[in-house]
Amino acid sequence: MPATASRPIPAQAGIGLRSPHHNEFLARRPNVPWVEVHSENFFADGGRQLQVLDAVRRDYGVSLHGVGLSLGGSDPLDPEHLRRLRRLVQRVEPALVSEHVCWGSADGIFLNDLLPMPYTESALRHLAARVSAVQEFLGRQILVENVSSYLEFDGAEMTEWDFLVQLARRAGCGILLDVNNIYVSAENHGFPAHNYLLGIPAELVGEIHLAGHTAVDGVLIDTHSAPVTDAVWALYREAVQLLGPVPTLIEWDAELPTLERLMAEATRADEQASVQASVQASVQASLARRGNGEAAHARVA
Amino acid sequence: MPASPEAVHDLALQDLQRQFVQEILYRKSDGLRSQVVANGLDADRRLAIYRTKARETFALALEAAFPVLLACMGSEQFRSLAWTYQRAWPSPAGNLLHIGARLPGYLADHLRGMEDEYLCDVARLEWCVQEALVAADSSSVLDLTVLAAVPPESQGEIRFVLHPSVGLLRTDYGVFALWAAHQAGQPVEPARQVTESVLVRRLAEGVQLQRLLPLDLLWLEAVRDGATLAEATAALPAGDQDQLGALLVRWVTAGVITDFASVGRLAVQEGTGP
Repeated sequence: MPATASRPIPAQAGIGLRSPHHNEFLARRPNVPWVEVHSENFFADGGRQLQVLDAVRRDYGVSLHGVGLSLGGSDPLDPEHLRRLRRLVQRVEPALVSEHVCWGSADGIFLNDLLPMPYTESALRHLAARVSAVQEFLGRQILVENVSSYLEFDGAEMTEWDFLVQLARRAGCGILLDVNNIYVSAENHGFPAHNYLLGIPAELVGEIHLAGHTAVDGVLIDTHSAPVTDAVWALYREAVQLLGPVPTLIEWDAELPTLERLMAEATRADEQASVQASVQASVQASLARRGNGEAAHARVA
Repeated sequence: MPASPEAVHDLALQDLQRQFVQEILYRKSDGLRSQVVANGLDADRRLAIYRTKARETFALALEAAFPVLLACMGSEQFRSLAWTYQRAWPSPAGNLLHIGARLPGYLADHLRGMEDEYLCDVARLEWCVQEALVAADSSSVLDLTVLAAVPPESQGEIRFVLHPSVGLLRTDYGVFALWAAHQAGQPVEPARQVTESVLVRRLAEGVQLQRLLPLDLLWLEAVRDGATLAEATAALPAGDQDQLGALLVRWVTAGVITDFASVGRLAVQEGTGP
């Protein structure tokens, strides 16, 4: 069992580490500051997967990202799932632990998907209580991620971003802001992605996700099977401008590219964030020289 | 366990989620469509996206767990099986590690006595492989000198411990050869009817399969089922009981037997089980 915590996660880009890349990753030890893995893929009692994670955590920051807890579900939280998650958290001592603002099961039947919540006060209370319970059980704060959605339920009492922020405030959790998911849902439901970003307080955001999506019959599907699109890069630059530097993850789960290609996508994320930061600093300096007292709050177009 | 947050249970949410699941898997829901905002795309098409995703996730996980079965059946037939199986035995958990547990039995219910009956044993073998992959670790190595130090009067009460990944399979078809052909990248042919036994276990380099002689199977099954050394020996045919020493050395040396418990000695508890 590891004796020390995994390395910290800086405000730089990391990659989602998937099993087809395990051997190459351990052999090459690529220059990436941190990786994220899906928690459930390491729920086994033993075996190669856990040994790989033990080796990775010695040299890299690690984030555990869950996809199956069904935080917003109406079934009781699965005690076996929670026990295995806590056991993994204790073993890896990750810098970040995250899950999704969604549900995945009813009456014990799991669809193993990230299903949308109705944005009502009642559902918010339910979800906040469960996030609090999970944090208490794990003994640490978690981040919760906005999901891509392909339908909205009638009777919404607030926007998705208000729901997310209220959840974080009530449960005391952080936000994992998936910029691709914002873009996908905004396109699918016709709301301005810009408004979503404006509604998220910077101090709540602990991580950003970037991924590729696919258009199918006029609907954007969050497939994680392609490079980040130009439109999502643009939204990411806006997010960095509003939120400041945040640890950012490149997710790629289907039609997995080479490790080299994945690393290149992470490098691009760092470059985009860096360009945005330098442009913003330049504008602020220019405004300051003109004695504009509001320079510190200037927004780059 | 966390304090139950179900005190704030949302009955409307529960009803919505029940209807959603029933609609995705069985196309059965009363009022769900009226709760979905159309906004340029009708509820049926929106729900169909989720149905496609749920099917795809389940089928891909099943394909990963049963690659030989997939090769035997072909993609189209396997996908059809995956969907009917998912509807009969939906995923019981938020992780996909266990969704294939009931597939061998499900196939047996549908293929018994038919030409493709061998597929049941292919599935049973592959599920053994899956269980070996996720079984607990064990670093203990049984020291034969420690075993020899057990007083003769107590030796009959010894209970051996198998490596947590060990699986023992009796089959009516030659699925070992079929599995080996698939591993070697060769085409798979329907397995012929033949009684055989297979040992499945995980080594450092991966899961290993090997055929077992009937004597080895009888003895290892008895050990697996918790028999004492005396009971396991009694399970062997009378004429083969003098093989005990060879059996013991063979399976201790191979790392299949990793520990033992006897009067005054507990087996070392290892692994990272819950």
